[in-house]
Amino acid sequence: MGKDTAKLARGPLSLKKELTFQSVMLNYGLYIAMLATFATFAIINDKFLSLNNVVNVFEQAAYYLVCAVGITFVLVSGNNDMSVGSQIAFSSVIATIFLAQGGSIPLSMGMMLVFALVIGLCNGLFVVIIGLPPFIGTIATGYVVRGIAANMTKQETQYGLPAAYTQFAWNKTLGLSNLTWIAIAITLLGLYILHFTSFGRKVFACGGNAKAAEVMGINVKRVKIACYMISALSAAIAAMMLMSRLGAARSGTAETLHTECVAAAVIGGTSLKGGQGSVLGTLLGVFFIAMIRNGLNSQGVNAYWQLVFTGGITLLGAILDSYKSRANAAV
Amino acid sequence: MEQKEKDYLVIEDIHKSFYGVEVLKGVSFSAAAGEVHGLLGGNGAGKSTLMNILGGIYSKDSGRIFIDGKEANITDSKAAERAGIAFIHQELKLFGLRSVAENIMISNLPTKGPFHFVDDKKKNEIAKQYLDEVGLQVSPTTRLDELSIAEQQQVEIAKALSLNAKVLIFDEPTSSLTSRETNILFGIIRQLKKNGACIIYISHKSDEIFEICDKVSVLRNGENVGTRDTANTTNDELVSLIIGRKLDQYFPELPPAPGPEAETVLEVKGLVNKKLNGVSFALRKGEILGLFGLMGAGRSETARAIFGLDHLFSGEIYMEGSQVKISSPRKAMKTGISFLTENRREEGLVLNADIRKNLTFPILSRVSVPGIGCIRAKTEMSLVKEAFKRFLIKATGPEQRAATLSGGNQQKVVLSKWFMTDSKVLILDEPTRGVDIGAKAEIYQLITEMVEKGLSVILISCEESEMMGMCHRILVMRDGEIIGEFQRDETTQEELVGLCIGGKAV
Repeated sequence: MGKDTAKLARGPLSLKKELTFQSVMLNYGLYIAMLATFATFAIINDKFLSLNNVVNVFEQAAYYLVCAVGITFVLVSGNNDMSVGSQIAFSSVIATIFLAQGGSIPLSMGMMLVFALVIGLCNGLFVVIIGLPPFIGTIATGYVVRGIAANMTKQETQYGLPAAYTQFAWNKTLGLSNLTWIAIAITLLGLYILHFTSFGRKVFACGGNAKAAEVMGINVKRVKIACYMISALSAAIAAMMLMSRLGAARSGTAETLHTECVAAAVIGGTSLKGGQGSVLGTLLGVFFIAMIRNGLNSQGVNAYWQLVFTGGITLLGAILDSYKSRANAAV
Repeated sequence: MEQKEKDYLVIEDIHKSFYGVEVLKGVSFSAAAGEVHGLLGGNGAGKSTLMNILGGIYSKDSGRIFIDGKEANITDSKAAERAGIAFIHQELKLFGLRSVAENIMISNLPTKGPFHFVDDKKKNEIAKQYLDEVGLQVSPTTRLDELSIAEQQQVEIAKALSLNAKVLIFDEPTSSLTSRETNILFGIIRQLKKNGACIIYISHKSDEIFEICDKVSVLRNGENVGTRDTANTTNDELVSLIIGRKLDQYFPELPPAPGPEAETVLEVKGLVNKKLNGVSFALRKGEILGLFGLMGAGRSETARAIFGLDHLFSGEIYMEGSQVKISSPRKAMKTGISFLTENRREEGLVLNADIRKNLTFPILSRVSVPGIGCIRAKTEMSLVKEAFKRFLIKATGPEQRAATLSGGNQQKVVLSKWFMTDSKVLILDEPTRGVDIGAKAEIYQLITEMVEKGLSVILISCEESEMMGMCHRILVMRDGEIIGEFQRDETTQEELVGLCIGGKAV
């Protein structure tokens, strides 16, 4: 016994010693990359790290952060949700049409949340109950709802939101815009639910080992469906934020949002294999991507190159994730 | 030594560990061409691991393999194929939707023309040749899944022949065959033997070993404990080789067995499903009831059915006298049943989570505020710290990831997790598998302590010594039925093993 334990106790340590550079890069590589990029931009552009710019970036990324926090739940539960961008397009278009015809604001919000619950439930049914691969099941729902929105609007941008709605985004409280405060609130709520409640624990169990979770008496299907509903709800809130900010809605909106959210989560240490991740990590990931975009923007890099860049970052994050889980499995 | 040089396949001093647990401790054996060599041993003796090393699925830690006098470096399954080793798996690994010919020829499809189109005519011709060799009368163009399991197995053998395999490994080939099909298979094996193949035959069934094998080697705890000519040995000798010496010094003293007057905690009547043919028994309060049998005999299946993991066609479950319906593990836990599954890495632990989380997953409602579900960190931590002390978990702390623990400590975490649920009945499926001897003794001690406090335990194991050392009463299962019941002092290890492998009881 003694010998065996000693051998095992030495195992991971000696591994670390041998692979110092590698393990540092695996665990902190992204942060190092982040710091390096920030430093580069800061040297080129002295306003890059100014408080003003940072606050500004945060405000622009607010709706995207809300969405990414929701997606983190789905990722940790071991699934993926490709439909968030389409959900935003769908509910913002319908709510804008409704509001432009004089509908009440609270009713429109209630409507959006109900739609979200239904779409989240559908995603859950397809993926968790019927067992479709998440990529197929949620892309399909995404196409359906975006298609409906495109048909309703003939792909024209919808205007006519009441002034109170559009003004909200631009009002400030304690120096920060309202949208920023909402994003902070949602992030804190997500942090609390995922990391400090029994439901959050169950999400980790289901994503980490669904079989074991079932044996431990956790209703795996219910938890995974609930995660889809959480993601859909946060997409609905993101949609409201986007409407308020843009004063309009369009069926073609947020087409790459899902990828960016997943990229942010993965950069923040959430595993695509489930069972691992954190809301704070996602916050960091969102901030990283938004800051770099801002830096590229200020250098006059066009949006298409930024897309290439986002793709590259996602790839890097995913590769690190895959190396990390392999290293974990080897212990 | 001279004999050894003549042997076609020589395995020398193979070692292999998984997650720090040594599964093979220097296995050596050899087999000649034109010989059928049986491989016997209990579950976990290392047979499958050894054969997977031969097949290139696992890589060995050390040791050497010689084929036809030359050292073979088997790094992957392709290398095994090149070395002429073929594996007829317990569960067939074929493509159900493709034709028989394609399945046989998949690794070297004949092609024609500059664009290397598959030459279908040639493919079917060659496949037919091999089908004839194994005596299978089907057209090469038949879709594989239209064949019976036995016929599919023959296709797999034909495939092995097409790869020029000289060493054929059969891993419990008769487990899903009827006796008529078994006879056909034995015919094929005899033919292969006549053609000079070297055949390794893994089985649990001693009568088959005596019928088809020339020699037999017995593995126990990762070592070859003896090779015999089947003509010069007896069933009894093989049984005693499988069991080995007794190890009861590891077992603590059990609390006295509850008598027939003791209260019945759990009773099941006529459990029937795909794997079970009417299982009935009663568990008394404070009793350790052993369920013994080979893998697939219905032991784990009984536990899974009781715990709501497998569906039941019919049968009744009573908990403390009143009938309960258990449709999910959650319901089972509510009625007071816990279940430690046999494979802790797959079904016991969330490996990426830390020990603290793993310990409290089943009791989240107890460590969180009702209604809003907020985890009460202090309550949780004090429970976890207590578990560390009481159940002797050795780790750097509650935050250590479960994946990085040794097998024994992982098992203690799973065990503690279930102890903490305060269940009335705990079902333990192979609680000491892949655990070193020290941790084993500690686990036995913990189980005994909990039983003294009134827990009732169903202990499933394929180690007969564990049955004899840890159970008040033992039920022997075979083919989904209970075929024997013994009080602890009424039986011997030999009798138990004899019943399981189907030979006559000693």
